Amino acid sequence: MRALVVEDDHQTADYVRASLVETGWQVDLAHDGESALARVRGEAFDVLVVDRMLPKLDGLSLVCTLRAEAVSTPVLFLTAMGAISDRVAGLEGGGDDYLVKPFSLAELKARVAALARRPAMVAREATELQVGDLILDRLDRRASLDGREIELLPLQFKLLELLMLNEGRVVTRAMLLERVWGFRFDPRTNIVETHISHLRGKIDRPGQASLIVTVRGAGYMIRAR
Amino acid sequence: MRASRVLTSTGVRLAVLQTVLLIAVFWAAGSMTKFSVNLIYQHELHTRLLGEAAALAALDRAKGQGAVARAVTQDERRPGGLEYRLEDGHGHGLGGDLPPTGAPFGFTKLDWDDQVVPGRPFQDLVVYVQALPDGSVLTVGQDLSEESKLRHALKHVLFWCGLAGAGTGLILSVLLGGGALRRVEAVMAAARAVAAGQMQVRAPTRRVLAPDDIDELGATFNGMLDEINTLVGRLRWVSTDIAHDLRTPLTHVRQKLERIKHGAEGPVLIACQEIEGDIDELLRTFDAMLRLAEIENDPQAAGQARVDLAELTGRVIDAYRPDLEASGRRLDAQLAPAQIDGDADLIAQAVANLIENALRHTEPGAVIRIAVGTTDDQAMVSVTDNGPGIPDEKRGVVLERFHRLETSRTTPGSGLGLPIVSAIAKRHGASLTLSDARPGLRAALAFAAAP
Repeated sequence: MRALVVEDDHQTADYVRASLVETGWQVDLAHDGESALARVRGEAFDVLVVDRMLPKLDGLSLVCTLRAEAVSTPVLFLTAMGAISDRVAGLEGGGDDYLVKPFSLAELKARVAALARRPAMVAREATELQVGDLILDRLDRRASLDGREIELLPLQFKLLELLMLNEGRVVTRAMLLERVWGFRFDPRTNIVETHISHLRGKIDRPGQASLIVTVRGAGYMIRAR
Repeated sequence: MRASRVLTSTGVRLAVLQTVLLIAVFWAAGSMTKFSVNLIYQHELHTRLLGEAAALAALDRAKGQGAVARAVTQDERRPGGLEYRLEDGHGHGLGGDLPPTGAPFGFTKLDWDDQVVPGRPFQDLVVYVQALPDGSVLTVGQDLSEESKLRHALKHVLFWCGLAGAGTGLILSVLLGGGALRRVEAVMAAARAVAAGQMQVRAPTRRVLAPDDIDELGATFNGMLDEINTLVGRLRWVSTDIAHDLRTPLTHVRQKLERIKHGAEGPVLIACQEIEGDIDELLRTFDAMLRLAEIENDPQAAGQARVDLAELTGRVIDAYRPDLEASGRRLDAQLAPAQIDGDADLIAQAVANLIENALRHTEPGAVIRIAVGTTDDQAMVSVTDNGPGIPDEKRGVVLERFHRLETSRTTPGSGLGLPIVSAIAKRHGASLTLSDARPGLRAALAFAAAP
C-alpha cells in the first residue's frame, strides 16, 4: 500500500512517514502543492494525506484539481485549520476525512487505514456482514449469532455495523463519536466505553474472549477469534 | 409594501404634514385678503354715502325739499345708483324707494332677509340717516348684494385654488415620497438580509449626477458592510494563523512525547501521560475560544437543515447518562416531538454544554431534568437541576466568557461553556433563559418551531 504525505512542515512529515511505515505502508513525501500534483498525476497511490496550508498550491485547491481530473484516491486532510467552516469546505472540496493538528499517531493510523480500504466498495455495499459466527443483516437491520437472533437497539446496531465494516482495523473513539453519535465534539464521558460494554454483553459468549478488542490508547477493533 | 407600512412611513407622514401646512397658509392668506378687501370697501362706501348726503343737504338748503325728492327719484333709476328715502318729521315718505328702516341717525347696517319692495329685492344694506335743514329726514343706502357677490366669488376662487394646490401637493409628495420610500425600503431589506447572515447582500445604488441623501445612505451602508466583511475576513485569517502557529509546535511536542513514551516505563511514562492530558486541556480551551469566535463572527459557521430536537437531545443525553448515573445523579428526560431549522452539530454542542454545566454544579444525588417540547410556535429544550443555582444578580455575567462563579480556577471547565451556548442561541435567533428552579438552575433554549 502506497501513501503520499503532502506536508510543508518537515518535522511533522517525517513523523507521519515514520509512523505509517511502522504499520507497513510505503510512504512518499511532497512538501508543496505543485510537486504533489505532479506526483499524483504520474503515479498511483492508495491514500493521500494532505495539509491544508501548503506553499505554491494550497491543499484544498490541490484536492479540488485532482477531483476535477477524476482522481478518486482517498484523501485525509491533516490540518491546523479546525474551524467548522474549514472542515465543511475540506469535505465538500473532495476530502474524505479530516484530522485536526495536533493529532495522536493512533488516530492518524486508524483513519488512514479506514480510508485505504475505501476503493474496495464491496464491503461498504454488502448487505450482509460476517465476523466469525456473528452475522449482521444490513437490509433487515438484524443481527444473529450462531443462527440465534440478537436484540439490538438502533444505536448498538450502528456501532456494531461500523466495527464490522472495519473488521481487523482499529476504530478510534473520535471516529465512533463522529459516525455513530454524530458528535463533532468529545463529551468526555464514558459514552463509548459504556455502549461497547453493553454490546459485548449481547454478542459475546460467556467464558470466551470478546469479539470486540480494546486496543489500548487507540480504540476498538472487531475480529474473529 | 403593506398598507400599514405606507401609513407609518416617513414619506407619507411628511406628505400629509406638508398638505396640512399648505392648507393652513392658504386659509390664513385668504382670510387676510378678505379682511382688507372688506376694510377698503367699507371705507369707500362710507365716503360715498357721506358725500351723497352732504350734496343732498346742500340741495335742500338751496332749492328745498321738492328738489331733493326729485333728485333722489332720478338718481335711483340710474344703474349702480344709491337707494334713498326722504321722509318728513313724522315718518311719512316724501320720496325714494326704500321702505322705512327705523335706523337711527348715522351709519347702520341692516339685515333684511326678504323684504321685497316692488321691482327690487333688498337684502343687506348700509344706510346713512341724516336730518335735513328743513326738518325732514334723509336716508341714503347702498345695497350690499353686489359686495356679497364679490365676496362669494373671492371665496370660491380662494377655495378652489387652495384645494387644487393642496391636492397637487399631496399627490406630488406621495409620488416623490413614495419613490424615496421604496428606496429606503430597499436599503432596509438589505440590512435585514445582512442581519440574517447574508453578508454579500448590498443596498441598491443608482448612477446619478447629483446623488441625494438616500443615495448617500445606501453608499455609506454598503461601505460599512465592505468594512465588516474585511474585518470578518481578517478575523478568519487571524484565527487560522493563530491556530496554525499554536498547533504546529503542539504537534511537535506531542510527536516528541510519543517518541519518549515509546519504550518508557514507570514514572516517565506516567509523566508523559500527564503532559499529554495537560496539552489536551490546553487545546480544549483553545478550541473553545476559536469556536466561540467562529460562531459569533463567521456567517458561514452554521448550517441550515431540519433538526429533530427530541432525537438530537436524546442522543446527547445518551452520551451523558452513564456518567450521570454512575456518579449517583438521577436523570429524568421528557422528550416530546419538536422540529426546528438549524445546525445540528452546534445545537448538540449547546445541549451538551448545558448538561455538562448541570453535572459540574451539582452534588451526587441531584436530579437533572431535561425536557423537549413545543409551545405555540416555539420549540424548547430545557435542562433543570436542583443544585445551588445561580444568584439572580450573577445570571447575566455567567454568559460572559471566562466567567466562573468560583473565584478559584482550580475546578475543571474552561468558563466558555455557557458563552458558547449563548452564542449558538444567538446564531439561531433563539433565546437562552436562565431562571431559578427553586432550588437549582433552569436553563432553557427556545427556538422558533419549524413550520
